Amino acid sequence: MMDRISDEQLRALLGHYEVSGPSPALLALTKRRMRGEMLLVAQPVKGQSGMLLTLSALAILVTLNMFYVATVGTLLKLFLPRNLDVYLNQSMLGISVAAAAMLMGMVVVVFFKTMQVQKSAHVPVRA
Amino acid sequence: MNDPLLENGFGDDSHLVLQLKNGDPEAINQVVDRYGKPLFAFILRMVEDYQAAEDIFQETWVRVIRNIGSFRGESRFSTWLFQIALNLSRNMMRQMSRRSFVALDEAAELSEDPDVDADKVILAQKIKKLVASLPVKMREVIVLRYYHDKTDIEIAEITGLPQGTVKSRLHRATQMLRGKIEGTELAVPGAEVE
Repeated sequence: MMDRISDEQLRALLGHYEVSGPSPALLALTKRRMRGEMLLVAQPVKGQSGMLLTLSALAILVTLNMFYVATVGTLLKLFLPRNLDVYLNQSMLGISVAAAAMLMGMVVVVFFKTMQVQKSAHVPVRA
Repeated sequence: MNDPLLENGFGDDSHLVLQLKNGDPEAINQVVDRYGKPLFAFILRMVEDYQAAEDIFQETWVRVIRNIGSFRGESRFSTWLFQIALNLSRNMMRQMSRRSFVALDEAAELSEDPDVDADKVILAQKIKKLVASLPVKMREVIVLRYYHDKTDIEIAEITGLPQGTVKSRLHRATQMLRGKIEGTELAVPGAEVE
């Protein structure tokens, strides 16, 4: 038989080891950093909705362009002199390529922005 | 527990968690004021270094804001908070063990203050050394149980260990502590006889 320290006595003994709390300066700094982080976390959502809007606008632009090519372009082709056909074709093609390039560029930007946001937001909880 | 808010793990913090999720900066003051002190004490007892504890404390809260969207209340908010702090503390301790490191001895500093009871300071310093002498895995469970009154389930969630392992580790850690205490003048006179 040997004397053993009870759980309560152990708890009481350990209770003598007190630590100081966080300093007011640390609390203030932490809160400031948290507010900053909160703004950063909120920003991508706003940015994403903005990009989505731009993407939609570009998609409409491209659709209108296709419509223009299909209708007005065809009509102009009928009424303009034959020697102007080459300019008409080139302008139609140019407009289409420019719109498609803008659309593709925007898709790429949205894709990488989304990837970046997901990566920065994911912090492993387990070490 | 019949309260659905308590059952879903948000506990009393459901309102605060929702506010944080909605990006309400007012919630920051409330949540830090509520958990700042115990969280800092936990980190400081784990890493035993004031500067490192300050860094981890800040990083823990920043990560809370960054990841609050993914917190679904499967555990209590405080459990999740301690889980983040513990993981950061473990990382810090790994880094600290790789380089030569001089820990700040708070008790030694306090002992220079004439208003502080020297006996209490010496006792606190001895207990601090005793806790610090435990292997990190043992210290984790001891600090969570005896300084933060966490249950076995909560300790299991925070440390990521199975509940059975927590029980056995707690048992071994307390045995280890008792053994260390009994070998010193800290042994309490008139302790229970088993």
